Amino acid sequence: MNQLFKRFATALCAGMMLFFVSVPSVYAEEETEKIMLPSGKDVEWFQLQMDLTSRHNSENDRLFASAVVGLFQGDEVLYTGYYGETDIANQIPADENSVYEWGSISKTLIWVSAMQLYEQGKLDLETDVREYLPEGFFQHLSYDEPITMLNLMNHNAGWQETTRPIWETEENKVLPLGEALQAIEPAQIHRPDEVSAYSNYGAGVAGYVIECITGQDYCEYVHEHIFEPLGMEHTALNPTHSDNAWVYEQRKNMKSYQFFLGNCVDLGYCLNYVPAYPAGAATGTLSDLMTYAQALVNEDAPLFQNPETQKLLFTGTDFYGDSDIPICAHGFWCEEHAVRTYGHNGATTSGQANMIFDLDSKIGLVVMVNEPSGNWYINYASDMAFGELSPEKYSSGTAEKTKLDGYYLNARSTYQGMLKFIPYLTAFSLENLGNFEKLENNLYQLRHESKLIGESAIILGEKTYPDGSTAIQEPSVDLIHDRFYLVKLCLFTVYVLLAVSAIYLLLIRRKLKKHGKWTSYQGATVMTAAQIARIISFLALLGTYVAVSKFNGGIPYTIGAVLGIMQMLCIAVCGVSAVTSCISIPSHQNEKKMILRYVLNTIGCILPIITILYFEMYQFWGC
Amino acid sequence: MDKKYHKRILDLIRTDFITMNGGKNNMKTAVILGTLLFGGLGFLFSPLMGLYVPLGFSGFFVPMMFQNEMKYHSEKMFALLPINRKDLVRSRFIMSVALYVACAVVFYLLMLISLKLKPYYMMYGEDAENMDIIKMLAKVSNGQMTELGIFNLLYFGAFSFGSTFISGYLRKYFKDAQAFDITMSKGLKKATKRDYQYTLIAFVIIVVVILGVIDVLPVQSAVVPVMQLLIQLAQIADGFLLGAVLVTMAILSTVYKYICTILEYDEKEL
Repeated sequence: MNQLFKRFATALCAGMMLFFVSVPSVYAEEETEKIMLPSGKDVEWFQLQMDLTSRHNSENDRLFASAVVGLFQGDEVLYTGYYGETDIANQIPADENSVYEWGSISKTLIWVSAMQLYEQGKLDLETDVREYLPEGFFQHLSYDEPITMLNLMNHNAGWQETTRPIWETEENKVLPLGEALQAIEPAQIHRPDEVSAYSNYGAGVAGYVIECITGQDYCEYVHEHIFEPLGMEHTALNPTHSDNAWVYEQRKNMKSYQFFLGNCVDLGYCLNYVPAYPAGAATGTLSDLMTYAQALVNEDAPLFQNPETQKLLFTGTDFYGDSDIPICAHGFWCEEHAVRTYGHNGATTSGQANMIFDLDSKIGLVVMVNEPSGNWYINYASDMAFGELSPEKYSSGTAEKTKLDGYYLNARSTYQGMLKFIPYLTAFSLENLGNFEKLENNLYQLRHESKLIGESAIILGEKTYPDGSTAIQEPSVDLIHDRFYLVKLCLFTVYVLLAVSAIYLLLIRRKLKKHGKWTSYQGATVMTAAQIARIISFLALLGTYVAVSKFNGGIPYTIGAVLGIMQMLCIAVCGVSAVTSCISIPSHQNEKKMILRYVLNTIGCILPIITILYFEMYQFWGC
Repeated sequence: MDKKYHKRILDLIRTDFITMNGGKNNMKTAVILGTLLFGGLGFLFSPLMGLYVPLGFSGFFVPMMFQNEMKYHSEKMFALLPINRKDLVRSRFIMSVALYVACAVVFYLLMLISLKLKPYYMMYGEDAENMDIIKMLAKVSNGQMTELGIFNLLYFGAFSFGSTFISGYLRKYFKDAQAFDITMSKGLKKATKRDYQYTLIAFVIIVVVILGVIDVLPVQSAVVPVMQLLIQLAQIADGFLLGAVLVTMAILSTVYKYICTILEYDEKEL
């Protein structure tokens, strides 16, 4: 019995010893297995956040339509999530076969292709791209300075946004790349290298450069040199997706949705075809985009002959102020999170996507959704994986605090032609955002409430153009300081008010006539004609905006011509009316009321003429 | 305009004041108390309540002015007196607009002081922050609008609406004082030609909006630049620029209604 008790006690002690020794080691093993994300959280936490949001998405209380999320580290896929439905009405769930549009992530294929040609010695990043393009390819260049591939990568070749339609709704209307680019060539409004303004056209040109150098269709080149080596069988690049029959069919299962006042609005299939397709037509599965992103963090650089080329790809080519913090690395955007990340995001009329990775930890994230704006996953997933920039990273806390006064215009807009008024309606002030901390080297930091917890910061640069004007640098775009912004806005406002006042003046005239109190006077008919002209001019201005929204993001030439000629006629009528009033003043010297009437009419005609001329509302030619 | 003319206009204004003060149970006390109440509440609790001053004043001022005249049918008296109809219209427009502007300016300044001193914070302490709608709206604007900008936008909007309303009220009164009688049941009123016109205009607007929403007409796209301009103006100079635009629109509308009233009243059979 004693022996039995001893054996039992020994076994118990041994078991307990084994338990206490082994349990911590098991936990230790579990702890070492936990993969920490740059945000400081682990993968399980990340997955939980993604799942929790999905659980709140019910049929009656919809938060999003669908989202697919992939997280990886090097070659290892850490997590994939497929949430919601790609077609709510037909209850088609998002899954590994769902295809989403990459949007501007497609541009990274151009930059990778360019670097492939660079390492083969076929493309020089600092040579004028006109040397590779057919002669006379550009028709609207304003400067003789060379436009290099680096300019295209940094989006600082000087082009404004195009005013011509940028997508087609019918497959058979899609022009070949070269012709499509020539049809939408925008005006070059800045000297190359000076102003950064994100340009889809510029990226399209870069794609065409690849086509011209290789003598191969750009789409075929990408398939052969990127998709096939990586085994990306479920991605199409052609604007009509005709280069991949599987994607072509799968795309028909994906609708797009927009949340408006809490309601999920079905936008339909949104099959818009972008002829300048290198800028944003790729469409494919989550798995394929993740494969592509994994290749970009792979030190063996499977897309390049020499891994050094990939290293070069991720070296900065544009920087904040005079600092060494990169904004852009050969076309890839750099973001300051808890770590520095590289990647690109994209948006089309049907959805959004984001590809972002940290080259040090080799952790990457891919998110794709079928909503053209908004969506929780697009807004938060990257911060959950990569954290946010700590205000203490670049600031010692003793940095000088300053307010950035004045109004800033987004460089990515239309500064020539009929849509010149648009940037003036979207200008903004940085003053109310709070105090900026001035760091060294024309670098600013703005602290703000974190999306997650606590406080975070954003970095902005400042640069001075050769003409002495300044701009704030944001990723992908300069915000140009305009000292005379208020004057220009006031001019535009007066133009609108004069159109409104013309309506009242016409109503008063009608009323007077009805009551038999109308007495004609010298120049009365021309004055009335000018009032009608002011109203027509304003309606023509609204017409340009309507044309942009109705005709695939731009104004077709014929419609532009009609609106432009209308504005010219309005200028002529207002001009004649102003001259008639001026001539009439001397013959009514003793009639104060009449003189006032003529003077007001002259002012009321000259101001719209100045506005129409300054904002180039008549200019239907060019882009 | 000579001094005699000024005196004549001032005399007419004085006559209206006397008429307004006479009679029992007139609305004057209620309107003054209402204005002071909302002004006081606005000052103490939230400048947003001060918006009721221009709105309320515009709604009740003209009925207050003519209540006794309607009650005792003394509007016909002006047909017997040697008074130019044009002068009568002018004096009443001047009086209404001047009083309205004076009242709106005084309460605007009062609300500005309230916005600056924030007496409601003293009363409610930290809880007031959760009730400060203006501050919340400024926050929602992502720093593009200040608290003063938001207040100005709303106040100038209310002011412009109010002034348009007052001039419309005056026009309607001069056109048909009986139709204006607020004591008369709506159901008993005879629909006038203008009522049909307004109904038709409202119907057309509704149809256009519906066609815009269902995307048959490009209404949404045409409205975008106008909305952008208004937003832009609202963001600039603490909303004073948009304020100036709204006031200009109100002036245009008031002048138009004034001219219409003169023409219509001149031809009216009294």
